[in-house]
Amino acid sequence: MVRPLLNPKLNSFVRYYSTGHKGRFGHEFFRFEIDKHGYLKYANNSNYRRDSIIHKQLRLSPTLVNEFKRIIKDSEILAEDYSRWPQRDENGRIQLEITMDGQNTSFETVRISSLADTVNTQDPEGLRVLYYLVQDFKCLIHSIISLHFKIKPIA
Amino acid sequence: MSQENDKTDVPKSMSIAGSAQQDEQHKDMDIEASPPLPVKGHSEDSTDPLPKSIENAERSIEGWVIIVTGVHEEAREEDLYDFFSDYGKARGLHMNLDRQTGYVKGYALMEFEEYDEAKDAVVNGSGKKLLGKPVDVDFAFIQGDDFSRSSYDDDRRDNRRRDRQRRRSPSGDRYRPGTDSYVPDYSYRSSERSRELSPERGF
Repeated sequence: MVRPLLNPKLNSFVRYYSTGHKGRFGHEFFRFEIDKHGYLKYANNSNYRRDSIIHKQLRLSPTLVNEFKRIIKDSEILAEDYSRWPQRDENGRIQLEITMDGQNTSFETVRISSLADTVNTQDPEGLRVLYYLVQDFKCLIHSIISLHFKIKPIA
Repeated sequence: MSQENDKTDVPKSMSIAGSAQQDEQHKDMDIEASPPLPVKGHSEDSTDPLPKSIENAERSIEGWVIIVTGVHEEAREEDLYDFFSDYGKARGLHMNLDRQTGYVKGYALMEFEEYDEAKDAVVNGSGKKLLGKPVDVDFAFIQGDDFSRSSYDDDRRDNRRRDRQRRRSPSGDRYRPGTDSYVPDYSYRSSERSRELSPERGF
């Protein structure tokens, strides 16, 4: 089941938004967005231990944007049929929107915290593809953000 | 030894005939020329090699970060360090694994202290073979001049909240509690800062 995302942007390449419930630590969410020109926006919000939202912006080179495309293509997420994926539940939801090679795909489903979450669903294999793609995204985004913004501790 | 010069257009002539080891090397060698650094623009769906981002590269907080793609799935971190040791001393490496297979995902991000080291790696490392597979090297980040792009409503709301927090807190943005790092928020005036630090200014 596809829900149209808010204000889909013409320049967007990939947009990922993951949110949990609004609980003890505020409205916790993780979000990143990359447009066709390489502009990356990253946001991570949690009030855990009185932390506040973190916003970062950065422009990626075309080579790096291309590597995101390669990761998306290799995952074959665009070949999946997400109509059988569960809608959001009380634990949260993710939204993913990908525009590349002239195709636009967007969907919303539950957050998958572990492979165990994929087991009792109508499409465990497809959700597994999504799970690993999200892991690959998070790895790469984390590396990018920490290399560009984080000062190394004094060894 | 002979594999250092894979970037030349002239195929290596093997003057030493047929020992098994030479044959092995010969099989590994790329007989075709590596693609030259392209100068034309790049259209979204073309399969031409992408232009390198040398002129508009952006410095990161403590150095210059390059992206290496086409990394062999069995590459080890020391292979990357060795590969780039000709160009400079790498100060950081992120080579992430594919979480499903356990092999290397296929890219690596490396940081060099000096622009010239990173540029050397981009220009001369591209097309070279690592474990028999040619890699592509480019700067990871480039100058952005338009970070004020309009976005979703919740972005604007979050920005307002962030502005209030910045004024309240004397130490500005933090990275994460539990770490030792204080990080100034480069995203706020990124375009100004990138002009200050651009190579043309002799940085």
